[in-house]
Amino acid sequence: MMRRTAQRRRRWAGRRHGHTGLSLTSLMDILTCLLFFVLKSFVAGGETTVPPPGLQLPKSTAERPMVTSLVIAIDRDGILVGNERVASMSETRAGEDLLIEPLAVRLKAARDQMNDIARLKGTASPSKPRIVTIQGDGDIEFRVLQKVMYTLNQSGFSDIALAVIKKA
Amino acid sequence: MAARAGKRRSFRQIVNCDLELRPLMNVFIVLIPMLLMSAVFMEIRVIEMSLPHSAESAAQPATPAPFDVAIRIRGDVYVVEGGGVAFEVIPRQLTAGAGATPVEASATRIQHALAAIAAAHPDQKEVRIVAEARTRYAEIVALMDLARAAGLPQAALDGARTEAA
Repeated sequence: MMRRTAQRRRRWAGRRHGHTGLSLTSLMDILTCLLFFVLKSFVAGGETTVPPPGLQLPKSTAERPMVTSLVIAIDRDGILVGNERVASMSETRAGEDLLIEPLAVRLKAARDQMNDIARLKGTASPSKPRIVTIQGDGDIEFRVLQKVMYTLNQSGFSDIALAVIKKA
Repeated sequence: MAARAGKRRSFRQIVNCDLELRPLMNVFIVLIPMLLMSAVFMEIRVIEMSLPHSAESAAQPATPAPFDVAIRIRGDVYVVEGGGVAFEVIPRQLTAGAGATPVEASATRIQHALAAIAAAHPDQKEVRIVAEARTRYAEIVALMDLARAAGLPQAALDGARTEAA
């Protein structure tokens, strides 16, 4: 009789303990709020880009959104086309010539590729001027920017968009 | 005995009607870090510029603008010019703090000078920024902002010696 009572007590105690799980409701509330906040912070539509690490874009009151284009980043170490580094900063600064030869070669390849795509699609004329977005670090010198712009112009890219961070 | 069995059944029914939140939690825990990693919290905008087409500029002689508005960055001053004549000379504070540009201290004066020129010449939309070789890019962007605010939205860049744009 005593043994049976003890067994029953153990069984009931086990049942009670088996259902004391974590209360996840409050955590779910936090996660739901966080999810909505993150979704809201996403840029809906338009082109988005992330500058290379270490590159600090200047702040501006400009309002025009970014467009899909070839991106040239100028950081403190040199020039990048897409993710490929084409010239170092010392190489760019050196010499009085405004044309940056490695950049011009890379731009010519990019332009040929764009023209081929346009021809295959039949969407645009190959001679149409193409937009290039320059992501320049706020600390770069004007002579570097001047050389990049001159090289762009000589390579057939006459429309330029200077990427900036929108001032709050 | 039958009554006791009935009680047990009802107890089990009450206990088992909890919402199963763990699968949803697992989804959230994966989804939130993924969204946070791919989220863009800073808004990127662009300032559009057009360079003269290299083929066209080589073939045609450059025609002078009817009225040339320029901001010259010259040592420790900004010279705001209208029609080739110095309109106002504004001091340039070269010892600006970290992250600040020398323009900030003189922003109001530069903007007023440009706005006065823009008001006198309503058809004028262009401004030339003549920078020195070592001028920081952030300072040029700040000057473009001031010109845009003053009613001169089209900025062209010019080197102190050689022309770039």
